[in-house]
Amino acid sequence: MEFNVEINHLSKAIGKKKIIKDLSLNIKKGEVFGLLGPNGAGKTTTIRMIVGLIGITSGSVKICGHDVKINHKEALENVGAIVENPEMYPFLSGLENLNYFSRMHKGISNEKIEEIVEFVNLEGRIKDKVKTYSLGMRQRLGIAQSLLNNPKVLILDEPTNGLDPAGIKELRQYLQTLAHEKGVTVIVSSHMLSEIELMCDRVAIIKAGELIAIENLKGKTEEKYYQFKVTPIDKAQELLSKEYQLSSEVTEGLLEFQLPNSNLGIPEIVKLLVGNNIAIYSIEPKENSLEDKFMNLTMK
Amino acid sequence: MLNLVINEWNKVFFRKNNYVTLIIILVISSLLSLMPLLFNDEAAFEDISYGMDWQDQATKQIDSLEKENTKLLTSESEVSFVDEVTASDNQVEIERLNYHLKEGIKPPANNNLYASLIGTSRLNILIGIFVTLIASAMVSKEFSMGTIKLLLIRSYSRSKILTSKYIAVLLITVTYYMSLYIATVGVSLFTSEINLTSEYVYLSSDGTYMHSNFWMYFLGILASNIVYLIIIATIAFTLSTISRNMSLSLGITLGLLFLGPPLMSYLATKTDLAKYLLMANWNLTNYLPGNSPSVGGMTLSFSLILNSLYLVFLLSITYYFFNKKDILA
Repeated sequence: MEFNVEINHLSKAIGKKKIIKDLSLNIKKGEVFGLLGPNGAGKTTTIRMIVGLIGITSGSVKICGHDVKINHKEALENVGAIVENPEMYPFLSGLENLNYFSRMHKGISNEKIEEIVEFVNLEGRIKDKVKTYSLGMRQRLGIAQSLLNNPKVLILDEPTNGLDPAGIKELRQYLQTLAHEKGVTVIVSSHMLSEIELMCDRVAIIKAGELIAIENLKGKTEEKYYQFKVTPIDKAQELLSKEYQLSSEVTEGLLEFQLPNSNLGIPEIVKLLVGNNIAIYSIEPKENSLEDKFMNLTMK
Repeated sequence: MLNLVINEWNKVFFRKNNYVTLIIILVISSLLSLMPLLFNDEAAFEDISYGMDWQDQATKQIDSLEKENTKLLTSESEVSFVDEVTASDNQVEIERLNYHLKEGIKPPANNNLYASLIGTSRLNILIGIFVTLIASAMVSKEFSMGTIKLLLIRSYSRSKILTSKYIAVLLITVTYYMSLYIATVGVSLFTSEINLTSEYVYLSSDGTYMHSNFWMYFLGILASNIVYLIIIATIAFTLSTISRNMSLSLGITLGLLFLGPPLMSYLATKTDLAKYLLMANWNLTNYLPGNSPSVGGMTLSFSLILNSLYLVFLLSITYYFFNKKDILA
């Protein structure tokens, strides 16, 4: 497995306060990886350490094999990023800003800049001064800026901020194309669960500077389960475990269980319960959403 | 690296503020060159241009001035204040003409190019103010706009980014200073007479006349003023970088610019140690012939060494802070 970003036992302390505690993450080539956490969890701090904006207290960050601390130049050559708000020079036009940043990289042609401008849909306003831009337009320009050097690792801090639904959808599709077809590693931070869920292949949940869980969002079918409202509930539970070796739980007066992947289906279960004089009031298929997990993990 | 400097230069130069500054510099230096024509008495129009027989002309002038003085100072009634001032002006003029006669140097026209160029050089404090404004904004503005992040997430080291900014400040400093002379030369071509000799006669600090080759003397002023402006720019640049606060940097540097020299003069009356202060050393025109150093016994090499030490110190802390600090903006 090829990792484009390797974070090992990363910690950050400011004064005596520990902001990031022993964070380890390996992010693969060609995946969209989400950093999810409530406000103040340390997402932006982690990103700042990855791109070398703030010092690393202990641990290391490697980008494409280069340590950010030791080989700053080689590591950062592979990175494009937006950190927090997409601030650009307000007194320059969008195009002037892009020309400005393209001068900080080698060999970026005018065609490349045009192509990026077209991708972020700013053709109409690219010659206007950035101070006249809306938040969404600034976000687009920020994304354009981060793509200039064809980065192998693209880091976007809250990229959907200020984008309209169509813009969010386009960005999502583009990031997935970049990752899955061109092998770019995309790291996206957000506190918007639904966004992360749609956009990312894997997600790390961070709370108070600690890594709480890494969730794989690609194989989420196994998270499906069923809720039955039945009486008597204890008899039903007993039957299920005796006949089909199904383990179930009772929460809030409802019987909950997952179906194994075999040919056992809901009709068989209904037949069994009805045949044993158990009354069924409702059957509901449920999905364990990221939101439930996030809440479970971060509210503890 | 060149690209970084171009970026920094573009950001400063192609701005409305910069155009306004350049226009102010051009207007003020033209006004200064036009001053003799606008405000002066008829002297400027008298157009005393000296010909082949300049020695006779000068002798006659001296005679008439001496006669005038005798008349002014021996009138029956009490000598009025105005008369006294005129008489003393005349006396200075007599001494000047005598010096020209003694040294065999043809006197320049009243309104001459050399005098305009030297006069313009005194505007370097104005350039100092503009340079302070630019240097104070150089780093602190990137922080307040948040753009510092976009500069530092690239593959350039922080030192390179800072160096490109410092070079841009130095380039702007030289550009502003040199544009003072553009207007002066432009205006002088129409209003002043071109000097016919390269010898320049001037008053020294002890009140006697002396002369030097003008271009060497003028080059000395140029070099000294540029050193002075670089020191001012560096102070503002350092403060802007370590405080990230434009107003603070601006306030302290301008304070030093205006209050530093009088403070130093005051301290110099108390102790010789004042000679180690930056403001006792930053003005190298003190070492041009006819001038005297801030504190007795100081030499040009002493000031050059002290200025270099101060610059090395300022730049070291600038680079240290810029490299070390976490960017939380």
